[in-house]
Amino acid sequence: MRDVTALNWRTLRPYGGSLLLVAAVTPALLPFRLHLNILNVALIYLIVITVVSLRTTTGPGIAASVLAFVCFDFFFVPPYYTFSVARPDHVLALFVFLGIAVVVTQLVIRLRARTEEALRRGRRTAVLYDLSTALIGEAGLDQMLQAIVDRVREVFALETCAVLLQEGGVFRQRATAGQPIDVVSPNLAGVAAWALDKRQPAGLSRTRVRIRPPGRPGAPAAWNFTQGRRDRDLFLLPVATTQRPLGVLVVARRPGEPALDDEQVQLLATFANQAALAIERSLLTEEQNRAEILARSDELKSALLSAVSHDLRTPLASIKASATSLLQDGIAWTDEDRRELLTAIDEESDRLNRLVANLLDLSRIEGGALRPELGWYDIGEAIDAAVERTRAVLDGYVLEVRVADDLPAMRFDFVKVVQVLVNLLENAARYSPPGSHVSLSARRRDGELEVVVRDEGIGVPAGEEQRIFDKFYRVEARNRPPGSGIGLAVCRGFVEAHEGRIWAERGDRGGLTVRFTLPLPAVAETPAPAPREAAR
Amino acid sequence: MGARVLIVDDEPQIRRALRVGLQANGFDVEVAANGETALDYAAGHPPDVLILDLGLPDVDGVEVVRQIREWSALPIIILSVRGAERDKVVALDAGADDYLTKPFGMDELLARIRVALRRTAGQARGEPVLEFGDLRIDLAARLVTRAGHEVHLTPTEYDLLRELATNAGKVLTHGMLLTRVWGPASADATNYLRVYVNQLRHKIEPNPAHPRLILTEPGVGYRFRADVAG
Repeated sequence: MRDVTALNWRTLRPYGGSLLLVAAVTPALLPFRLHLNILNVALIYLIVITVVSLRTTTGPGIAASVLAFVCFDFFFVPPYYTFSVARPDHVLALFVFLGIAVVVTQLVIRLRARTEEALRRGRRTAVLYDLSTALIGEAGLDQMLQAIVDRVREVFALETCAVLLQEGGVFRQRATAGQPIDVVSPNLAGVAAWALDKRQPAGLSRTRVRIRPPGRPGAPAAWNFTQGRRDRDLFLLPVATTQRPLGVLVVARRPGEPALDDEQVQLLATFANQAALAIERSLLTEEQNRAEILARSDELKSALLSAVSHDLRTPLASIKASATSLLQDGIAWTDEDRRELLTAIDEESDRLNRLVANLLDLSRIEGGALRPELGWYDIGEAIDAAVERTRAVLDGYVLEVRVADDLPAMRFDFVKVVQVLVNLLENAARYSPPGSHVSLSARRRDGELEVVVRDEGIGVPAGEEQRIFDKFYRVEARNRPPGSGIGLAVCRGFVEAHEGRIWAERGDRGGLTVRFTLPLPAVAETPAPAPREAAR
Repeated sequence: MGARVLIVDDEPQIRRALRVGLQANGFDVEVAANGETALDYAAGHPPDVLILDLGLPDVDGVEVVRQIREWSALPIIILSVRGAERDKVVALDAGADDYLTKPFGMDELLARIRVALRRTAGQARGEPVLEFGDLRIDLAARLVTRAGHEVHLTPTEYDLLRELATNAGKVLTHGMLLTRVWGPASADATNYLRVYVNQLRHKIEPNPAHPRLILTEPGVGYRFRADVAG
């Protein structure tokens, strides 16, 4: 009931204003009645009516014209204070006045309506332009939808604006401006499905949908909505392209705000279309990306297969050749020969094992299952262990190891850091000629530990220094020993798991320098006190 | 035997395994880690057999084959982890005699080395008559007999058989056979070759469905078996 009263008051108010203005002019003119020609009075009334028309609509305008006519007749056309008219030409003048007043009112109002329409169009264009500019700037679907709901909420001064997308038959809130809407509500889901199915706007009373923080629990199961009813608290517009339904745009007015008018609904529909376009574009992009990812993973797979088959077969060839030699009948092996063949088998088995370990590590890094098992160690110990493990590989190279003596004990995963060092040393040996120098050094730099492995080998082409840490990435060049593109990828995964960085630089005189950092413990931290470890 | 074998491979472990394995089988073994060294060495002390890895740090193995073929017909056996037919064909067309994919057994390598050595020995003697079991090819008379009976061959069949038999033990690629028997214009006509090999097998093989003399190297070419039990 209160709503109806408010509505009537809003409707009647312009009448009151218009009539009051006309009425107010009358006593102001009365003192000058004797000095003013009756035509002048009529002109003054016309000015007032024009002013009134500028600010009101047809109804109040005509009412003001009629009141002016009545006042004019009653107060200014002799005999005064009666509706009778003494002179016949005054009768004519009176009706001409009324006619002009009505025509002026209509003209002014129509003109104003056109101006307002133009202004509205201008505003709408501005809003849409603004929106499309914002959408161009946004990369992801979620950002685009957020830009849309933010703008809708701002332009229409709404309490909440949200986009619900239908994913697998369920509506999910993808973007919200203002208070989130309780999408679990069966009412909202039902109305949203209806709006999307019929491609028509729908209204829903707020009492049936909770807006968080939840109001009354236990909303009724049946919903109550009317097609396109804009005076409902929630208004839903379908978001769909011609091919597929996508979701709904939900808007909630602030309590007490007037219902949306036609123009606003139209503008909202434009926003909903923009949202549909944005979603479709992003879905298409997503599909395209997925296809590209598939193609790339195919490429990766074949790269992996060729790399792995090469890396597995090379040590296998030595093992097989050695083993089949030993298995030959009728050969009297000297102890030295037998030992050589067995050593080949032993060392190449280790190499295979390292490769398999790297492959496993890589799959762990890929799967995100990598967790460093941190403990307190000296980096020097790890370097010793790595050098020990690569003794056979580095046989024939000049290895220089320099570890600064001011390095504190630090927290790292011993096995993984050794693996990083082994991979880097193996890499250095693989890509540099026997007899060349390989250096490994560790020192403190800018509050971090920096480990440097430098070789005098063939290096990498300019611009590929970072890519060599990519999975299966191999520098494609003639006469380059083939690698699997796994070792350095594992190094990066391990170093990054320790929150360190790894990068490569081309040496001044050829060769490659790989550096990695590991965080040093803060000064306050003391190494390996048993209680601290226990507390973790 | 004391035949000299030069092993060229960039992997120290395989060099070591082959050196020890071949020495124990009576070969005189030299090793080289890259193509340049191999070419220098081969020029200075030509080996009886060259065992060559295709993936070398300085020059591609195929290039080594080409350079050696400019001055020498010494048998070259390719070792490689590249198992693709295309790689085999490229190496064989460049002049390699045989091809082994890593990993391989020592017996297999020894067998291939022996065939290669026997083939050069035969060529050196320049014998006009080749014998493989009961098959006898008189190159001077263009006469082929099987168990004493003459086998009637068309001129193309005879040329094909002669090409295969004189290169017994060596893999001949489709391209090589077509060029030598039909001429360079027919180098791609592998279906001719298939038809003629089939006809030839029917005339000289005891069981054409299970050939013992003309062996197919899938995707690469054919090899005439050298070590047929007589």
